Amino acid sequence: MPRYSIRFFLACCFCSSLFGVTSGVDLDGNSASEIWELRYPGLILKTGDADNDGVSDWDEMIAGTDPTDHSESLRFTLELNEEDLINLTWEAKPGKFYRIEKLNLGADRWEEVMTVAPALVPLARLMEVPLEESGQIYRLVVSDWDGDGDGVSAWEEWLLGWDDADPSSGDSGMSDYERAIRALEDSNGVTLETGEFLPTRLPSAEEAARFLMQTSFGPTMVSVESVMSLGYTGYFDDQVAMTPNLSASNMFRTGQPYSASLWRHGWWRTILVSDDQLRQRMAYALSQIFVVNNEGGSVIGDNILTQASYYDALLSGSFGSFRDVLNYVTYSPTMGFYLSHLNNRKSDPPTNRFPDENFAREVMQLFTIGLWKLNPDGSHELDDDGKRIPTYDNSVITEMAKIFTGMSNGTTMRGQTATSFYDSATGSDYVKPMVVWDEEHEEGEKVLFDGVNIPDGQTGDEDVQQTLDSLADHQNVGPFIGRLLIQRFTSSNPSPEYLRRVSLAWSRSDGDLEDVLRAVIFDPEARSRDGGDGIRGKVREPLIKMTHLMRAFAPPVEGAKFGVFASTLKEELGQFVMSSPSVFNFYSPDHSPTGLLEERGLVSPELQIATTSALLGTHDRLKTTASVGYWVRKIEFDEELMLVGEPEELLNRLDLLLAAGMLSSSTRAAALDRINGESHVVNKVSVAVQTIVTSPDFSVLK
Amino acid sequence: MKRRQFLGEASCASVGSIAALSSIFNLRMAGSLAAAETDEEDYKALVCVFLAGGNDSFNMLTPVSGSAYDEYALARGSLALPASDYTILSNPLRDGRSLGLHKNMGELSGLYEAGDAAFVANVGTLVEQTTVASIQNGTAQLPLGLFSHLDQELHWHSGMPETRSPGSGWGGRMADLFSELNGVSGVSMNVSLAGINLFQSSSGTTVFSKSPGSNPGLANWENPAHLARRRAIESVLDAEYQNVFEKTLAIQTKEAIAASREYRDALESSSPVTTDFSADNPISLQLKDVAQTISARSGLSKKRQTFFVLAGGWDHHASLDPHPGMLQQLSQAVGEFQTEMNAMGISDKVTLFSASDFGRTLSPNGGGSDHAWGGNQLVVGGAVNGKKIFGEYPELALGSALDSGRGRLVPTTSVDEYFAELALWMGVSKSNLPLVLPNLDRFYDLTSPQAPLGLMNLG
Repeated sequence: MPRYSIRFFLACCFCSSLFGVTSGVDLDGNSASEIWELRYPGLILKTGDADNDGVSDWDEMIAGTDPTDHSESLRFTLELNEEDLINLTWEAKPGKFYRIEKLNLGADRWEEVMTVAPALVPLARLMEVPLEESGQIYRLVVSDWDGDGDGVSAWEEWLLGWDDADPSSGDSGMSDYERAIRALEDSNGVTLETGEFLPTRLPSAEEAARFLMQTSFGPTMVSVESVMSLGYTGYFDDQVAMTPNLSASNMFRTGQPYSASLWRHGWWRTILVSDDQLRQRMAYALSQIFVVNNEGGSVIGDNILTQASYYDALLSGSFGSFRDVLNYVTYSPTMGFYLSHLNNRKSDPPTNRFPDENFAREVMQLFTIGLWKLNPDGSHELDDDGKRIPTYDNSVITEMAKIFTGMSNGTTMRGQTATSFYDSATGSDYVKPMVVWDEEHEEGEKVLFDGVNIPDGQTGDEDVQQTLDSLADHQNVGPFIGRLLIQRFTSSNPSPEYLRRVSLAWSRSDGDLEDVLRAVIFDPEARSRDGGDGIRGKVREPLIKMTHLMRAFAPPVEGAKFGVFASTLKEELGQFVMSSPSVFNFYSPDHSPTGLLEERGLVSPELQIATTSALLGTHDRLKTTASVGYWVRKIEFDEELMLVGEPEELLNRLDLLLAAGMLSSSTRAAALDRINGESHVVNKVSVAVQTIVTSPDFSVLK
Repeated sequence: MKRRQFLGEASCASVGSIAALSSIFNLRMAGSLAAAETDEEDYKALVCVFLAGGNDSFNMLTPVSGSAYDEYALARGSLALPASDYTILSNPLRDGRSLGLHKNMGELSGLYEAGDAAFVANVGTLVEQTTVASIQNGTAQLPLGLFSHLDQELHWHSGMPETRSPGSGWGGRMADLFSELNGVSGVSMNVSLAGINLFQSSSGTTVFSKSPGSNPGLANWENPAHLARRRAIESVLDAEYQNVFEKTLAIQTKEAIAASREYRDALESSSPVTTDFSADNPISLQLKDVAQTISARSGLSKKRQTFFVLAGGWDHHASLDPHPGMLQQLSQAVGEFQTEMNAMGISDKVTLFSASDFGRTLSPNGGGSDHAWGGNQLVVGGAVNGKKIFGEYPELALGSALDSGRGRLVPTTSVDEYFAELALWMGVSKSNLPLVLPNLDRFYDLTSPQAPLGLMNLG
């Protein structure tokens, strides 16, 4: 047992990770608040002590003291007062959390004596402790704090004049985190509560490239410069305001003849050349939730106008209300055909005929609420016995099936308006929404999940509308759909806090997809790079790796032809848009591959399609594309070829465009070896690109 | 590494490590003894043909005579097919009912009559023995997500319907047991023609997953002119990564490159299949690759293998019209495969079995049927006790004792019993069966001298 001879000892402890993510608005991944960095520019983080007061700049950042003022640092003092008690005193900074700990000499561990929640103004703090014969050792722990869990620290909220008890303290309905980025990116700069002025902070090229890996089908030099000059938020707003580039017209600009493949050619062209990338990414994400397979051999697969109508509805609805998208999908004859509620008839007891349950089941399980009741952070709600609570049982499915009876085409052959459920239709009639015909709609009351009652006597349309309202209002929709969106854009394994913030945006905006997407993108976990725990980010979809490579080096040429061998590419990559093998999408949101990921309890949906064939097929396809391009699109290395004399410069450019500046030193070294080993100038670039796009660095969005 | 993982698995299942060790030892002994005593090759393979979507198997294997047919016709309404659409099978059920196989499945009825095929009736996922009464009074423990595709598929793969995170499939757990028996090879014992799947995965086993009709591999990998590229890739994949996704991808890609080379080499030195597999039949294409891989078994150092083949499109909600054509495709592919196994002289060493999400409602929803529960499966191979129906073929009447509503029949045989029989045949010892199928003792007395179903000739 150790013995201590010191009678009384005080220490200060600076703890940046006492409560997890509390570094606040950190956009460059160095675990320091951007507000602090702008306030004290030019300091050397981690090691510096600019004012030579013996407390490092890093520790002064945590303590909220001025790292440039020699006379100021966190001090913990004691004096004996009149009652023979010891006064422990320190100067508390606003927004900082303090805890006094005492060393338990017997057990050799620090024990909490008192905690002090953040103050709103600078304040002297005092604590009285009795004097003990055996000696005492106290320490003061200081840490950042985030009372409302919005990712903006209490210290930052104090400086910005905001409330650390409200994650959305403005009137805009935006999260404070997004507001903080907007404040930092304000072209006029921002004035803090202390009167200090911070200049505008815009993203670096690397930050912009990383942002574009999340929000587009691949960064280009043009889009990187755009984000750098507009800021994240300005770029985002511009993207949202753009007119949707719809496939119904775009597919006729591919230079390809009319065929059942034309819609796919059109999608390819759009992804490569269209500026409304954020909307295109959102529609693509939605197409992996509201899954329909567009491949050939059916009334959908053979009809490019039908294909365009469905996808364009997702595009148009990408920044609107979730309820509207759900409405479109429910009435869509494409979905009606795919999940067989098209021509769904009411029960007929004499022939033992019952309504079709297909859409009824999947609209709950996959499109809205999922199987278990969820808390906003995605965890399962538990009953009194600690068990998960199902959102519905099979009796709800049979009731729900009745709701979607009576739906059939709204137009008949030759596009005339239909007059009854029984009118027959042709391919081109699969564009107009289905109609709920009362003659085949199941009558009577229907009882759904949570006792939702659809009363007798309503029209079929009223039944459907009330049901969709109830689904869209369910507590699960935010965390359920929110998680799927996070997985598509930024991260396979969002923390509960991240998902909770997105759910909060969902409920704040009543399921407005633009607001939800802003919460997905403007979140500390999305905007800050992997902080060293090595579990952030996601494996990128192979199709997006391919579009990224094409976009980076195959810029559109006026009048160019566009085309894609969709079925071959799907075979090589393991996926293509609107070609999922089933309504369950290409991969499960819960897929946890054998090995390291499973051992750590992490999921990686995209690795479910990383078969032996697809891993190597994708590798070869990317390699070939980096050399010769893809089909009618040639790869152009005009800018890069000018840099072959300076391999390091060339690699910097490739690192930026392909890996957002996060290329590992080993991949960089391998690429440099290849550059040096090639004698042909043109090949020098393509071998370097090949090496990078087939590396794990390119595959993972960190 | 493999051994350590296996021990981990064993202790999870509360089996003493000494027992587990001795079972490995016994397996190895059994393998070498078999080889020493006879010249016969110690090889066995299971081929799973998964009918994704839920095969409407009461229209595949159907009562065709008397009141049993009338009952079927009444329950199925517009979905009922005429009795003349069926080929009557030998060996009626004990209760006298004659079953017919859809007439489009000529190859399969031929195999049945030849004693090389059998059916397992009304089999499905169960957590415990379940009755309509125990469901209605709320005491039954039911499979999670009953009647949902994703869940039921996973339960068929895992044999653990009480959980959504089983972590491994029964084929993967079986592969862990056989890792010592099989030789050293980068190509997994578990080969999939239809993507990564839970059935074949476990903590110790990854799936070698290839596309049908082509062999995975990087172009020009061995070409000396491309050596610089190969060196670059190797150094990139050998590097240390901090991010867990990058680490995983580096490992997976390295393993895929090594496995694909070994696979190609083994296939090149194997005898090519001689049967004409139908090029327009996606099941045939997959089974052709299975046959070719089986032919390469010695090059791959395999004494045990599993294969996963998938046929999609069985979710016939809108219309059952395509169903007979799909049964035909299935039968044709199975027939071709069995012909090839016979030609290779190993039909008694390879067993093909079907699995599917669930059976379908007896009652129609118009032109199609909906998700249900118990269904019928087929098992084919020289080691099958053929020409028989195993399990209890149910009464096909709405409101029957097994009807949980709309003709969703409660299974009378659990997938655990079905798979246990196949695992025993593969050579998993009875004492190790719980490692492969942890819930088996809820349905089968492990001390019983009888096999769970009697489906396989266990020698």
